[in-house]
Amino acid sequence: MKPFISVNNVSYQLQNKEILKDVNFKANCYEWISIIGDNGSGKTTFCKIMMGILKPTKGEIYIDGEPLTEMALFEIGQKIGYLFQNVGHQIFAPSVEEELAFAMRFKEIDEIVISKKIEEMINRFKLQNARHIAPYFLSQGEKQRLAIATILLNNPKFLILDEPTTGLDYERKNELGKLLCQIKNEGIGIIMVSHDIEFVKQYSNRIFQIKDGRVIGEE
Amino acid sequence: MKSSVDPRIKIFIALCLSTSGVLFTRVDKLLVILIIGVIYGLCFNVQYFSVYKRIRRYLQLFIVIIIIQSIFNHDGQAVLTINGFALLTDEGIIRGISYLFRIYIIVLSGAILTTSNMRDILQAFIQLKLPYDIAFMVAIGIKFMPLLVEEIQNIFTSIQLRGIDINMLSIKKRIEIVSYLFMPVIMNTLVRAKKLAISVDARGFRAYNKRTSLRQLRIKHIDEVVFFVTIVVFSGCIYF
Ligand SMILES: Nc1ncnc2c1ncn2[C@@H]1O[C@H](COP(=O)(O)OP(=O)(O)O)[C@@H](O)[C@H]1O
Ligand SMILES: [Mg+2]
Repeated sequence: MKPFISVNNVSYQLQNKEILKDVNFKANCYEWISIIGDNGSGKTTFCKIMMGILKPTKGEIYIDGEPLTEMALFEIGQKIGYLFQNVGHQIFAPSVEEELAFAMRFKEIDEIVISKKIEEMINRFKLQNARHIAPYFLSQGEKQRLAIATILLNNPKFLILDEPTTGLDYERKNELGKLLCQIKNEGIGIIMVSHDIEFVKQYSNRIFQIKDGRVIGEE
Repeated sequence: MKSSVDPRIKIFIALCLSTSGVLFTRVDKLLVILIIGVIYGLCFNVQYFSVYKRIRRYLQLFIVIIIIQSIFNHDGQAVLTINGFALLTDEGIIRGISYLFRIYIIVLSGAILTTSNMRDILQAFIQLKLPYDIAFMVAIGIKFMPLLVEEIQNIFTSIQLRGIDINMLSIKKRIEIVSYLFMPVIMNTLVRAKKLAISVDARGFRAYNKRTSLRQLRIKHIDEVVFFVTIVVFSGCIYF
């Protein structure tokens, strides 16, 4: 099967410091890949490179067989959903409902369809209690669920999640795990960055480690 | 030399550079100032690449300025006319270049300041007898700039990742996007400011009127030389 994300010999340099060195990496749909690594090892950088937010100094990336360099951010966003490490930076509307409706309103989708989808997402992601609160004041877990909901509205084939377990208690983490499993069973591949070895071992199909700028497979 | 020059001297140089960049109007004078600025920048090890990156987006503006200056200024010889309408005049081009030089000079003087670390610059302001409150405010402002920039960039990126093609939007919708960019940033800034105020109070900021500093800047020989050279160079520029 052709890999959905294919990273070939990618290096990334920042001010004479080589953050990633000759990284090769392939990810298929229907699998859950976890990436672990120390703080500052370049996990976020790697995610942002796969999302086309940062441009690699060397090497190529293909998404669904298409070179990443030829895709604009708005096209990438429809193929891969990205959860920022700092979720607060991807939530910006004045209310939960507006947050969910944001992209659809810009695309001028019919209001009846929009409100139906909002309802669906609010129920699925258990945001009922939060719906009228400004997203700014939501808890970490609620912010994350809201961000994942907005991402899924784009119908991506893949998710890249940057440290989604950080700041969640045991219960919320389990809920997140279940939710992501559900998403995976719908045929959406997952790449997750996490420090939580237990969580990672429980759910992932493959685990990679970033060390000294290289991506090493563990299994 | 980069670290050995006193930040007070750097502030002085930056003031001289930016003042002359604003006051002088003749393009040849501006060019001289720019060259002087570049030489200072080389001495202080300014990261020219990052300066270039910051300035790059103004290049289009520069062309627009040339055209506007040419259309509304009737002095000067027409260089390019379309249907008898002077689109480009030599005067317009000269003014456009002057603006470009000015922008470069001002960015350069900022870049020279950033070659000292923030703590030293703050200390320089204190020893120049600027009230500590104001110096502190300036320092905080500068320190939080990168955070704000990162935040705006991330929001902008995530708006695009939601599948919105910014280039295809109407002007009205683009303005709407800008409002989405700034709302959360202002929110975050206010909350951050509040937290900062609490933490600053908790550490006894302004508990006593007189503050002493452990670190003191001292003028060295090299500083005196640089200061003297700067005075000579800029007085030369005035009479030039
Ligand atoms: N904008 C930047 N400027 C300078 N260094 C950076 C920048 N972004 C990241 N880095 C450096 O790159 C390394 C990797 O960062 P990051 O990808 O955020 O690590 P992680 O997510 O694994 O904690 C860090 O050592 C960090 O200092
Ligand atoms: Mg990170």
